[in-house]
Amino acid sequence: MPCNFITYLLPFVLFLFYTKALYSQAFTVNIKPMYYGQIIQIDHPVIDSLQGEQVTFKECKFYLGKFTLYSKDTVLHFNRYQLIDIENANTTALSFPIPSSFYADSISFLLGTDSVTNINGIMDGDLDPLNGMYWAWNSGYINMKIEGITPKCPGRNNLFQFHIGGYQAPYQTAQNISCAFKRSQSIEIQMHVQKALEKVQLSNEYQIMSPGKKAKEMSESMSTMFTILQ
Amino acid sequence: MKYIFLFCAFGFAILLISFESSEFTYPNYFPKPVYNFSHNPLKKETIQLGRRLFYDPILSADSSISCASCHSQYNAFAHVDHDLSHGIYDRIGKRNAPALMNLAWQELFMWDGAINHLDMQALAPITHPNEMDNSLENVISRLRNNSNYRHYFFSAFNDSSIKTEHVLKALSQFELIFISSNSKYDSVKKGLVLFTEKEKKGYEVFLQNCNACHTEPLFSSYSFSNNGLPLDSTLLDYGRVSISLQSADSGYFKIPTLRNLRYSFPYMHDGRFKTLSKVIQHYTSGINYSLHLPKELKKPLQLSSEQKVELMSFLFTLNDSSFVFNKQFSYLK
Ligand code: HEC
Ligand code: HEC
Repeated sequence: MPCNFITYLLPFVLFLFYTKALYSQAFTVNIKPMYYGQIIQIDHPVIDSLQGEQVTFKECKFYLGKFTLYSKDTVLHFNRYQLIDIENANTTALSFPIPSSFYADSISFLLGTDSVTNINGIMDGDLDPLNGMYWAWNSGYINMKIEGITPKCPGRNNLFQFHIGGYQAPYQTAQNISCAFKRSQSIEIQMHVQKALEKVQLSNEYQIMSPGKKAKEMSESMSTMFTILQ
Repeated sequence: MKYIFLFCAFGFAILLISFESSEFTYPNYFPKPVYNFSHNPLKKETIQLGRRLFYDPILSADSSISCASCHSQYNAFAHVDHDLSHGIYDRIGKRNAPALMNLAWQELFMWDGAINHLDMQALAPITHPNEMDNSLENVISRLRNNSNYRHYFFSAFNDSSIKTEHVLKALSQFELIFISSNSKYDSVKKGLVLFTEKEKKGYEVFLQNCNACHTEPLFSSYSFSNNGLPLDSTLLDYGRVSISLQSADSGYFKIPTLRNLRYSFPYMHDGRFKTLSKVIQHYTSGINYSLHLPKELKKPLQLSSEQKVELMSFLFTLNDSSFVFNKQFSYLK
């Protein structure tokens, strides 16, 4: 009996070790938010090089999910969502398990959360409403949150606040992003936040706090923020 | 030996099944619930935890009110005699607290359908609109600092860490068992009693004029409609349109159930009618026909005074006293 047991189990155990060894490598993605070429740090002023205005970001959080890595002959999907919070360096370095021989040459992901995630009820971890990225009075995730201060902004304390979300047609705000690059196991994704704010004039449009046309427009601007640095 | 084992296993399985369903039973003429129980399987300990939370003012920022302050069992979990519900710091809300029952059959919650899942609903009252992402944290940390709750959460979820997910799922479980299906109407459906002549005639009036929206057996289709209420210019509440952003939904509100009306007054999203006869009067002579009305109400409703009485007596058969006095729903001492 015990002998039998081992002969049955052994291949399984070996297989487990094998697959584990197979996925021992990681593909790493570093997210770097920039503003006109300057790295954004919370509470540290950066300069709008077009108009010379000073901007201090107070919050910059967003969901990325549904990562897919492509190589010539392989496609790897990763289903989880990550909440990226510029203030927390742990969240801007992502790592995905890959087989050691795998080199990707393009990546796609969702900026924001898909509609199923928005209607499925309560979830834990990065999707916990405790993260402050959920609208309690109008169900749905805030897909991206950008807040900051700039002198020309007429809001209270010169504050601008963009809470961008909404999953219902025709005002969906989740955006599919894809980027190609040279074969690699590691990339840096730069997010040029000035692109997000390109279509709004902070001197008169400084607040979006609910789903709708404006939120959708800003999410479309945001979809052009990403470039890859290798 | 083998057979005995199989037999035991079978018996145990049966026991499990009947135990599960004993918390959640509904008559065979009800449709299938829409709530996805596989994400949140009912369990006795979890329901009890939800019950504690529902009655505990620990959920409000100043520990002054609980869910039950606005949703009292004797009013079918509506707000006793308030047109607009008083909130925390005695704020007056914009809307009347709806009766809570048969929630497992609803897809969208609130008068305008702003909330898309029962599990997410409690976030709205818990988080104060002005200090939103802060107060959920407060609630969780207050619960974590309470050793009784750590114990209750452990018996409910095998996890005493107290997560948002578990707080909300426990509240849902308690609310899901608010099933009202023991009114006289239900006894008639089950073949146990008969309607009186008057009730029977009232039932016909109901089927002809009300059932399209207040669809039996739940007495709501749980969709959105406009029943011709003139706009209250002090509230300027346009309902569903503020969520759907579709102009056709202006003035549309979620169709409420007509079960337990005896207990759930005042009526309508702003509690404007105190009595049922005022409601009937609205449908026969108060409808504002200049609004964008659904086809069911475009033609003025004419009822003789006899028919009105009959309709009322039918509506009385939808009251379920076993629901408002059910000990399983009351404050857990
Ligand atoms: C201040 C009074 C108040 C408190 C406290 C309160 N509610 Fe409510 N509740 C309301 C009002 C008012 C509505 C309708 C709101 C709307 O339509 O915008 C409502 C709606 C609901 C609904 C939706 C019902 C439906 O048919 O759509 C549920 C479920 C509910 N409340 C559960 C709770 C729970 C659970 C708690 C405690 C965590 C709670 N309520 C605390 C006033 C209150
Ligand atoms: C076209 C759909 C429609 C029809 C037909 C209709 N209603 Fe309604 N009813 C509604 C809507 C929508 C509301 C909620 C309105 C609001 O608060 O703005 C409502 C509210 C009510 C309420 C208040 C319940 C509560 O808990 O506040 C009662 C009672 C009621 N209707 C009874 C009737 C009766 C009796 C009839 C038939 C004579 C009828 N309704 C026909 C759509 C309809």
